[in-house]
Amino acid sequence: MSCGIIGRAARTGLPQRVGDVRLEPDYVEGNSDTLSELCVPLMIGRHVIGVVNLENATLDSFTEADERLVTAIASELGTALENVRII
Amino acid sequence: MAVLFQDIHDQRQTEQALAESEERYRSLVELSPEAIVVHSKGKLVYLNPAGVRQLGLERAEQALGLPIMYLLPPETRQLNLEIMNQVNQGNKSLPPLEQTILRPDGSAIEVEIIGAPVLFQGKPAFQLVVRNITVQKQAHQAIQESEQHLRALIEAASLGLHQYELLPDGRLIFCGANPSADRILGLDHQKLMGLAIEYAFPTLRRTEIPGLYRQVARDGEPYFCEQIAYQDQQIEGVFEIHAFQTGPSRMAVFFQDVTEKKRAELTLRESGERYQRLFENSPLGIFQASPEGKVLAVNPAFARMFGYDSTEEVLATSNNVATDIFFDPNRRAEITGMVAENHNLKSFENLYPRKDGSPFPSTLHLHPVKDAGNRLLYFEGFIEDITEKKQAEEKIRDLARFPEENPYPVARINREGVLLCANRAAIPMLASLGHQIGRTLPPTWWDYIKPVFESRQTKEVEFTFEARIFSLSLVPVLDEGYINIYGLDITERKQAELDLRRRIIEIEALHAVALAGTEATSTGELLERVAEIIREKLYLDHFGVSFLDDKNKMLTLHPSFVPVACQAVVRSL
Repeated sequence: MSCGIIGRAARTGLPQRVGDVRLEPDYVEGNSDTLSELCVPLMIGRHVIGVVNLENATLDSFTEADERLVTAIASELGTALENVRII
Repeated sequence: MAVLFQDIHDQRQTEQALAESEERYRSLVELSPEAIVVHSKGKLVYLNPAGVRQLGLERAEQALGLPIMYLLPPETRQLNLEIMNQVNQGNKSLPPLEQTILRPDGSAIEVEIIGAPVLFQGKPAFQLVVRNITVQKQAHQAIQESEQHLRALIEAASLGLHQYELLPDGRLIFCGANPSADRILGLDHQKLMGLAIEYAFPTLRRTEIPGLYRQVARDGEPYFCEQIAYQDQQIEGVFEIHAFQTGPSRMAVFFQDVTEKKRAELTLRESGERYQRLFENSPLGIFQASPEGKVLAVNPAFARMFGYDSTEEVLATSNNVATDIFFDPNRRAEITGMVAENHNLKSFENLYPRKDGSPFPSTLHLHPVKDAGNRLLYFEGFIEDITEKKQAEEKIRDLARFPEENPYPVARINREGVLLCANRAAIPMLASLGHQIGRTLPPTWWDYIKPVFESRQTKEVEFTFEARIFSLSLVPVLDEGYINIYGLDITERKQAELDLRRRIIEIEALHAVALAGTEATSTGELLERVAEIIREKLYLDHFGVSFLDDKNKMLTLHPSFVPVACQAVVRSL
């Protein structure tokens, strides 16, 4: 499984909200201007099939509310992906 | 022979009569109470016993033979000599003449002399009847001096004087006035001379004064009147008069203008009455107490205040101010001590006992009443029951605590933007902004304050302080010229609103994703639509969705996001 924060979200099946990626040892730079990151696992049932990844160039960009919103969307997205069976 | 005879019977009779006459004369002269002096050729030849006494001698012989001129003062001798010569030549009597005579002992007496030529022992002589009028002269002089003195007194008197004479026909005629009368009445009394009182002072016709004055002139009974009001075209005032008889059918009136005095008395009386009314009706308890502490007087309010039925009851039962009036017996001494140290101290708060023993708080306003010699006569005090005032103050303090105890900020700003006051909750907030009570707020506040003063409408402003959100209500109190600011912590409310809004967003987003799931024809399309939904809700610089491979080993970014990974989309909640 891939490393980095995305990989951690995929491994743990839990959302990962990082206010300052520079302080995160697991962080693997993808975009040089990114300072904060939110990763939410994409699941079908109890199985992780992917990760929704959000990045911003400002510190502490994502709130708990954002995490909750994206988690809900990811959950709905997993259902949608299953319904269309297009994976 | 011839006999010559002469009937001498008549002659003898005549001689006898002459001798008897001389004897009678001598007897008369000797017994006369008036001094009789006979001088002939300028010398004393006879002095009767009264004359001896008059001249202060023991015997007539002591003076007989002395020149008559020795009895006269030198300066009058020539004149007397001439008078006597004239009398001698004319052989006539000397008219009554007042004269000074020098006694042999050198003293002088005043006499009245009547003289006439006589034959003394057959020789021409001059007889003087000398009456000692020294006492009369002295009395006359004394009377004259007294009259002069009296006149001077009348002239100089500050009282006005009118003099009248009652004529037999009943008219009372004005016949004199002193200068003070002119001054007091402001007129020239000379113009009134000879006028009947009713014409001199016409207004008196309508009064009983002319009749009373006539009575004084006629009967001599003095008349006094303390207050006579008079007004005519020239004179106006109130006068005090003393009328008295100055002689038969004559009278005088001393008068003084007492208008000002009466006015002052009236003012004093009114002032006294006002004080009495004030004393009786004052809502304040008023008392007078002697320096020793004896209660001298109290007013009805005092009695009511202390729970007594009457002022008499207070006076009967309260003998000592310290023990009977003050709740604390030492308080009176304390107060008088403070007053002695500081004369400006006048008000003291005390506890007083009612008749039933219950205390009540009062303010005592005390002042010493002194006589002209600065001697303390008594203390006068005003007691104000401040029970209600104290209760009101407590209420005010309670009310004042109300905003103070408010956990939210409360402040007041005047038209000039000066922060007048603020409660405890507002102080840190204001301090963090650098605002202080009594100082003018920065101009930025005018953006909020000015519209409130102008519109007279309450304005709501939100203000964040230390992660808390406050709603500030700016309430104009224009009559007082200030704005009250009432703060309310709305952090939780705002958070709830935010949460609700987020929840709505969440539901909308989920609904949109579910819709996209039914409408999308490919994974890429679905992911793009979901990305768009998220971007609508969140500020994002990068968005992507990675998928695990079949073995759950690798995560691969879905191709849909590769070309747009670096796009910046601005969205915010």
